[in-house]
Amino acid sequence: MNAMWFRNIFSPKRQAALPPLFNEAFLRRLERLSLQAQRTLRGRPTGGAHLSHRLLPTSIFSDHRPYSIGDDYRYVDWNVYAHQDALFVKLGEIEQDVNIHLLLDVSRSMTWGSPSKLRAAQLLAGTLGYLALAHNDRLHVAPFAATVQREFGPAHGKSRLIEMLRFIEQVQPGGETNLGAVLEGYARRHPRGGLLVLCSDLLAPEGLEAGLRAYPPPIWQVLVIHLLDPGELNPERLGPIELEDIETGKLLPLVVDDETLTHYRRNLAAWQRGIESVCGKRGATCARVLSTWPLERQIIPYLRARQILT
Amino acid sequence: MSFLLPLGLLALLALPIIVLLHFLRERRRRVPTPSLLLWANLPRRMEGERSRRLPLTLLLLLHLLVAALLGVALGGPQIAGALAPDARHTAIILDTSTSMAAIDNGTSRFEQARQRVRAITASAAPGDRITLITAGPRAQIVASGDDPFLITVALDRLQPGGVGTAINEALTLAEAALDPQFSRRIVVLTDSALPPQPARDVLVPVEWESIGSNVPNRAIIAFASRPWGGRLQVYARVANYDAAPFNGTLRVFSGNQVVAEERVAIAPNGETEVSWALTGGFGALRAAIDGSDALPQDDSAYLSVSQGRPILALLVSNEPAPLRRALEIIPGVTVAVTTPTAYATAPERAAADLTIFDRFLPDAWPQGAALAIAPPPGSSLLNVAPNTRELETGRLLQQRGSTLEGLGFGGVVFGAVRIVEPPPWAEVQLSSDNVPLILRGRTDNHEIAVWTFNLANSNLTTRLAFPILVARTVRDLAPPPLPQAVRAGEPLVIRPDPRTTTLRLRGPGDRQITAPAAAVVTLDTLVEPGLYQVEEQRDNTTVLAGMVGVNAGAAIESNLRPQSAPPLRAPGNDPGSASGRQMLDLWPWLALAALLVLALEWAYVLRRR
Repeated sequence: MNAMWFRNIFSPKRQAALPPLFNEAFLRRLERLSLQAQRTLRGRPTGGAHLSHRLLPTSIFSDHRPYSIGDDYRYVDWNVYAHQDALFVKLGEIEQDVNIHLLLDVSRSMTWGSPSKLRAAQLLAGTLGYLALAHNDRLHVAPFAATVQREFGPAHGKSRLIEMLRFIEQVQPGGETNLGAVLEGYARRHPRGGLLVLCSDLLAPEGLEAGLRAYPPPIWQVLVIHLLDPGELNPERLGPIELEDIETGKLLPLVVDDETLTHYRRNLAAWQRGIESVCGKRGATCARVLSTWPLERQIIPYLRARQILT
Repeated sequence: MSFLLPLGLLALLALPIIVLLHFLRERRRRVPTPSLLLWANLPRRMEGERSRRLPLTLLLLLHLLVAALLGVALGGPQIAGALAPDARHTAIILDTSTSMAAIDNGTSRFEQARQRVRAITASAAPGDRITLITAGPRAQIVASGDDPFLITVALDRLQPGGVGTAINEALTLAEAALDPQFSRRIVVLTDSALPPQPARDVLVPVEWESIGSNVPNRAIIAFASRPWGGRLQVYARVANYDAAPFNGTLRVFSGNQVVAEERVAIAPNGETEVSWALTGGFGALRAAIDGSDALPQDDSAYLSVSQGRPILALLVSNEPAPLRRALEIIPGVTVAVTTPTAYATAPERAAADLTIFDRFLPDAWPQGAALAIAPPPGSSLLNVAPNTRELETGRLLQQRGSTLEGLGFGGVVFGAVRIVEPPPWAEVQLSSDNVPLILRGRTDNHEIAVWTFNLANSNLTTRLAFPILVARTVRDLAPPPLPQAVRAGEPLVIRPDPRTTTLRLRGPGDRQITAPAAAVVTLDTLVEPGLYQVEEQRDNTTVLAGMVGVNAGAAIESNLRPQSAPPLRAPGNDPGSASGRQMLDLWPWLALAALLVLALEWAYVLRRR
């Protein structure tokens, strides 16, 4: 028995068992959705669902180009050869798979809130990962805090679905956020680019700009999902308190009154504007998501409205 | 409201200390936040302003409330019990000394006091409580409760007797016995035949009721004897507590036979002394003064004359001569001699009151007392080293204990002494250079003395100190004789023979007292004057038979003129005495309230976490 059982008598917050992150019915409903990847992304024509921006040899064609050594004979337009005595290869838009990179912030700050921001991030990552696998994309999932932890992937196809969901469900939170270094390092290790989905509260002193610099379009398409807790947007009037940074343990004595809250909200707004500005400057899409939003009823409609999902 | 312990209010000094501690150690509530990033650059002026103000938190208020409640509770606050019940608790102190047996106005003073107690008991309302305390030579609570029947039953069993009235002791008992939840009072019923009492404070009102009037009395207030030149010198002192002179005859009886008489003329409120030199053997004497007065108990006095306790000393020695000479000159000591080899079959072995082992030790200590001289090694009774030690002459001796007091051992050569390890039950009374010479102790009901020196190698037997040392050792080891007489109610202390298992006393009117034997037996229930037969018995065999006289006459008891009540200072602010209302103690309620506030604080602190 817990030695501190008596604390729960007066505890307003009873520990309740969290429901499972994913269930089968929910995943089935997700199948109708897909990630909106830019056609400029370079993929591999191995049966993906994303149309490539470039014209490539294909049987359904809209253009030709002269044959060059090494081209597949299957795509040579023999009718043209019969008429013109020259070899041309049929070109058309083919469907390709793309690399989907899910960067999941598991730093201690993500554990804040009820439900925690991490849980919302896990839900989102699971959802997007499912879509990626369901549409034959190559999926990478990388939890990170100060550094990137053990990665999942690359994975391809729905057969890896359960493995991916378990991986996301079992990520362990902890550590400080080192967003800039993590993003730079990750980009170096994946030079082929792809769609990067960053699920984070972005509470990093170094900011986002240095990290996004390593993800230039059109090689990379970056989607920043900025997770926030309503308590961060509207803190309570707590009076004289000591704020404790749950990542660093630093203390800040403060009187949280109306005047302080006004200043705080001003800081918050400026910070959010800064994030949006950086994202706009670096060609990234920024979507602000509250951790309390229900996934199906609020987050997915929001992402569809932002044309992140189709 | 009043305070029983105003000094307890000093605990309220904790209030400013608590405020100071809160002021100094104001600890802000710690609130976790995901990051200080957005809080870092806020203006901080409010923080400084707040730190200079008193943090009026709920926790501080609860702390102050608890400290205030406990501080006031420590002061012992009381309020007049307007809502208190009207029940009364009366402590009745009843004088049971001998003087209360005096006949006064046709009936005894004790009977008058008893009637008064019955009246108080009868007037008690339902719920009232009464505590009955007797004040004789000792004070004791004999009954307490709210059932008048029990008080009456206990009252009917009481009889007056005993010299002295422990009135102060009784008042203290009464104060302790009275329940403060009741309206309290003390009623003292006494004939005031008391010696002058010092002034004292009492916590509750005292009603002093004097029983009896100024009645004349004569008494034998001292009666003693001593052997003197083959005769028995008897002494008596007679007092006349009357305004008129007394002329009468004082007679001394042995049994029913008058052995001496003397005409006495005593002046008013005077005393006279009479002494006789009697010849012939007497067991006990009784002195009586003729005429009748209010208190016949003190007109006679009793004395046991043949109080010597005969001692049979068995000397176990191969060279008994010096010890035998020293023992035979001790009055009351009979000496039997045997050798160590014949000790096991000696006929006196079981009957000996004292056995002296010279350079010999048996397997077990004898039933009576024992003196071991130069004990040999190899015995289970004493741890004796196999070798001896030669003590230098003239070395400083360490002496302790009353037995050796005044004895000089200067010039005594102890020679080679046995090295005896002092057992835990013995103390060293004489030693030299940490070598024990004389040990004394008691183990398993055996009185034991050990001399480690050998008399044959020592010149002690030629010294004057030797017969004195032997006599004192015998007196120390043997039980002391019974006292000639004690005053009624005075503790009779008897150190019986170690072989005794039962002590029986038979008093006047065939009153019998039986007590199990112990090292010292103290009897304090002998309040009836007369001669008491004392028997020390072992397995229904009498070891010693003697007598003790118990006398009621005493200067402090026989003077029946009422004395003034001792000055008793009742507290002026005692509402019990002023208005009859009792005081209600508030501290239990305050302590309970403090406990509740503490529980509230506990819940509050846990909820905040």
